[in-house]
Amino acid sequence: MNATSTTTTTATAPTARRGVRLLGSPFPWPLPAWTGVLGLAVLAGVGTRADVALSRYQLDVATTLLAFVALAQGWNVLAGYGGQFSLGVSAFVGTGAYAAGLSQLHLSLAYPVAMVVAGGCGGLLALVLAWPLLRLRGDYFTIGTLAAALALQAWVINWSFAGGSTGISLPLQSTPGPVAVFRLACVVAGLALATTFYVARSHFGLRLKAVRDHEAAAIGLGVSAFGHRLAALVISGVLGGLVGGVVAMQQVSFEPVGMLGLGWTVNALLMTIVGGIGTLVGPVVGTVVVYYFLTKQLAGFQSLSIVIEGVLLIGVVRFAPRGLWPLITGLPAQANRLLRQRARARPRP
Amino acid sequence: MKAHLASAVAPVVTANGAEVRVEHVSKRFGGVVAVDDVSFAVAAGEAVAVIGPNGAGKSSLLKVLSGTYRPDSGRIHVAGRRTDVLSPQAVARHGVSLAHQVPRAFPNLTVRENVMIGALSGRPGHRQGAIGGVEEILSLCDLAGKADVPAIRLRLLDLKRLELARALSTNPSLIMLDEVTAGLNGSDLRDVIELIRGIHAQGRTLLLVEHVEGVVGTLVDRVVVLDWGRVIAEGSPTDVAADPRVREA
Ligand SMILES: Nc1ncnc2c1ncn2[C@@H]1O[C@H](COP(=O)(O)OP(=O)(O)O)[C@@H](O)[C@H]1O
Ligand SMILES: [Mg+2]
Repeated sequence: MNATSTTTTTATAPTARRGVRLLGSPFPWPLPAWTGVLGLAVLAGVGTRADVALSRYQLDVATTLLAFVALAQGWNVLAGYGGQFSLGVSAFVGTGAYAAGLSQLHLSLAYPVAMVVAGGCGGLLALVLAWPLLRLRGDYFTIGTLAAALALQAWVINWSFAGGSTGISLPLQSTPGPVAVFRLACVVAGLALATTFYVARSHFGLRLKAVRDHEAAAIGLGVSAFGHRLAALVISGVLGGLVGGVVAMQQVSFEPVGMLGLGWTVNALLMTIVGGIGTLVGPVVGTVVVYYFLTKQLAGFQSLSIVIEGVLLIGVVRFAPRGLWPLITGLPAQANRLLRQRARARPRP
Repeated sequence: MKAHLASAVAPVVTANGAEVRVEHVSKRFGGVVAVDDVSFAVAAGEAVAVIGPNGAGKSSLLKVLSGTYRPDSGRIHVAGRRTDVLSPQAVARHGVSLAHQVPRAFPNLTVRENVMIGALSGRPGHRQGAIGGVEEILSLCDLAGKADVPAIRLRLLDLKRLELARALSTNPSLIMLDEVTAGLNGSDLRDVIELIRGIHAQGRTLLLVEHVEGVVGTLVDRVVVLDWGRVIAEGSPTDVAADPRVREA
């Protein structure tokens, strides 16, 4: 069509701003493939260099931090961009962990292959659960995901092939060392960030947000609401599975109460909501605040850190419901508004 | 205002109007027969109004046509294809769009993004043209200045314009407008009427639902009068206005 010739004049203003306004940009564009690859390369590069500089303990902390970044972003895609508030995070983490562990134990798979299996099984679980869960909306969907997660945990506790309640231990000879696990975590976090970037910026993501905002209206415009809700669920399933794989290799031995426990869900929620749900950077900020500053720095005062987490969550929901990151990025505009009000309030001579 | 009216008369994104056939369509809600054995036809590119008192079943009829509701009986053909058996999203992709009586925007998306959704998910093959038309639709609907504003911050008049813009965004061959002039008066009303005229001038088939017949007289060639879900009269706006059964209703 020759639409471009007439639209150029009206379109120049927003186009000019497109590259600058990365956050809350008015105009999403399809993510060029190279940005994701670049993100992965940078993270992998940092990973390779960092292992020399970091102590064993620091490596471990960094690995966990990166795993939580990926987990939070997975939940962010599903709940923040997709509007599907899941309490089933642990089901995907546990599935990934057990898939990685069992495939290494019984199929003697190399650990990178076991990671792929972990992500694949997370995605597969999402596909299977989609059948009952995507019929549900709102609170019913939330309850459904929680029920699925608890049922899966109860089942694994009684699954003797997977070690029942005692869990499993990975074969020592094929378990990667802390440096390799750290690099895996870098790749998984990079993948999660690239995926979230894609969802936030692409036309797919725009339609997903439309389904989140008003499902019937989106359908009325020809959007496949089911397809988009399914895609968001599978994305978060794959990311959850990959995180499970990383955690399994980091912990070497694990049991179902922890690996399929609600702790994963609580953390993913807390980190995303505190940092800023439905934003790119928020969950990263939330992960650093919740994991690094609260859980790690206050490790010696466990009950205190739980209290602070609770107070933080209530505080954020009450005073900055969009999260810390939007609060920070909104500060200049806020200051501007205050200054303007001040100027207006001043009596004119 | 003048500038975008000119572009409305000489549109860049043009559509071929669809022929519509509605045959013995009924829709019940529990005991209420909202649409009762309704039949009529609209020629390609024609503008037809459906009028009738509140609760006559006008909105229900449009929602049956848009695929939101499955009719309990009857058939609907749009551009030669049977649509009453399709999913609502398939009906939308077939080129049918509906501007709802109660505007339903995507509150967290900007005005431009709201309009992009339809352009992105529209008919295969029409996508590129529709995307190119987003800016054009925005200026046509007088929303260009608010393109970057989140829809949640719009006032009612702009929400109504956005509802129209979104209905246009799929580049439909049948566009249905459900009481889009309700609650408007003065220059706002005149603007929206001119906008509707422009939309029809693009060659689209127009199905216009209005509560008051005054508005439709200048816009359409034919009027279908609905009461208690049934067609009680049909004809030119002047004929229908003179019909005693319509005066009664
Ligand atoms: N979703 C629904 N559920 C139950 N009854 C409905 C529904 N939609 C419409 N109705 C009923 O159908 C009848 C026609 O309503 P409607 O199509 O909105 O009329 P109009 O648009 O002409 O005012 C009314 O009696 C209304 O109460
Ligand atoms: Mg109505």
